[in-house]
Amino acid sequence: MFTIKTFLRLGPSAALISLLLVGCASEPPKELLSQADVAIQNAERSGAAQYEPALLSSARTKLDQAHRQVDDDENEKGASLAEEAIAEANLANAKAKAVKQANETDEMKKAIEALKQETSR
Amino acid sequence: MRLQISFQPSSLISIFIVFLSMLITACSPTPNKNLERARSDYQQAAHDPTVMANASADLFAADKSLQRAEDAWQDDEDTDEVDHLSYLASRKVDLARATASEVASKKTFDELSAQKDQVRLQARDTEIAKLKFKEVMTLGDVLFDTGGSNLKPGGVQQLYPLVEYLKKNDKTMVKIEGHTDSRGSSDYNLNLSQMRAEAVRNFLITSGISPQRISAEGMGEGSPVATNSTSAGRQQNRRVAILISESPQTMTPSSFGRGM
Repeated sequence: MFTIKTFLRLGPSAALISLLLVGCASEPPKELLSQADVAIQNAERSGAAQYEPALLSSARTKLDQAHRQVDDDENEKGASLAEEAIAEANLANAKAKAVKQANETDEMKKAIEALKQETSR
Repeated sequence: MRLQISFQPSSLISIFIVFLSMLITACSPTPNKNLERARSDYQQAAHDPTVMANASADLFAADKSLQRAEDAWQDDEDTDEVDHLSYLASRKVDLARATASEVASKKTFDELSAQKDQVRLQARDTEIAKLKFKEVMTLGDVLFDTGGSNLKPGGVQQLYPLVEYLKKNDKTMVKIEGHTDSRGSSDYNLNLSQMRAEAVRNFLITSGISPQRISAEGMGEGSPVATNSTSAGRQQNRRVAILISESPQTMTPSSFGRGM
C-alpha cells in the first residue's frame, strides 16, 4: 500500500519533470527549417521574386539566420527565425498569386472591351 | 503651506481614488504594441466581408496564431516571445487578406471569362447576321425518328455533299434551322427543332467543320412551308433547312440547288 501511494504521489510529478526535461533539451528544429525551405521555393515558383522581392529576401535572410543559430546550438532562436521565414514566404507566395490573378483579371477585362468594340464596328 | 482642501472629507476621498487608480495603472503590465497591432489587424480582417467569404481557413489559422500570442502574454513570457508570436499572427492576417483578394479576383475572372464567351458568340452572330444566306438544302423528316433528335444513318448520308462543299470552301458560314409541324405544344416543338438543328451541327463538327462557322437554331412550328392540316403538308413542314453564306468567291455546287 505504501509503495502504491508513494507511486501515486510521485508519479505525476515525475512525469511532469520528464516532460519539462524533454521540453528543455531543445532539438534542432529540422522540421521548421525544411518547411521554410519549401515555403520559399513555393514563393519563388509563384513569382515572388518579381512581385514581392522585399518579403522574399527577408524570408531568405531569416532562414539563413535560423541555420546559423542552429549551428550555434541556439535552437529556440533558430526555430523562431524559421517560423518567421515560413510566415513571410507564405505571405510572399499568396501576395504574388494575388497580384498575378489581379493582372489576369485586368487583361480579361481589356480583352472583353476589345471584343465589344470589334462587334460594335 | 497647507492645502485647504485637505480638510474637506470629499476631497480626501477623491485624492485617495486618484492615488489608488495610479497604483492600479502602475501594477497592470505595459501593453505590448505588437500584440495590440496583431489584435487590431485580426479584428479588421475578421470584419471584412471579402476576407470572411474568401479566406475563412486562413482567417482561422490567423486566429489560432493570435491565440498563441495571447497565451504567451497571459503566461508572462518574455517580450521577445510575445513580439515574435504577434508578428506571426499579423503575417497570417496579411496572408488571409492576400488569399481573399486572389479568390475574389479569380471569381471576377471566371465571371468575365463566361462573359467573354458570350461576347464572342454575339460577335460571331452579328458577323453571321451581316452575311446573306441562301437555302441550299432542305432535309426532310427522314433525318430523324418521330419525336427524336438522333440522326439516322440514312439522314447522315444526305449531309456528306454538304461536308465536302464546306471543306472546299472554308470561308462559307452555315446556318442550320430546325422546323417542325404544328402537332404538339409550341414549346415542345421549339425544343425539338433546336435539338435537331444541334444534331446536324454536331455532325458537321465531328466531320471536321469548325464550330465557329456553324450556327444552329430551332425555329419550332412557326415557319411552315405548307399547310399543317394535311399529313403531306405536315411532312413538308418537318424539316431541317441548311443555309450557307453567299459571297462572290463561293459557288454553290449544283447538287445543293435541287433541295431534298
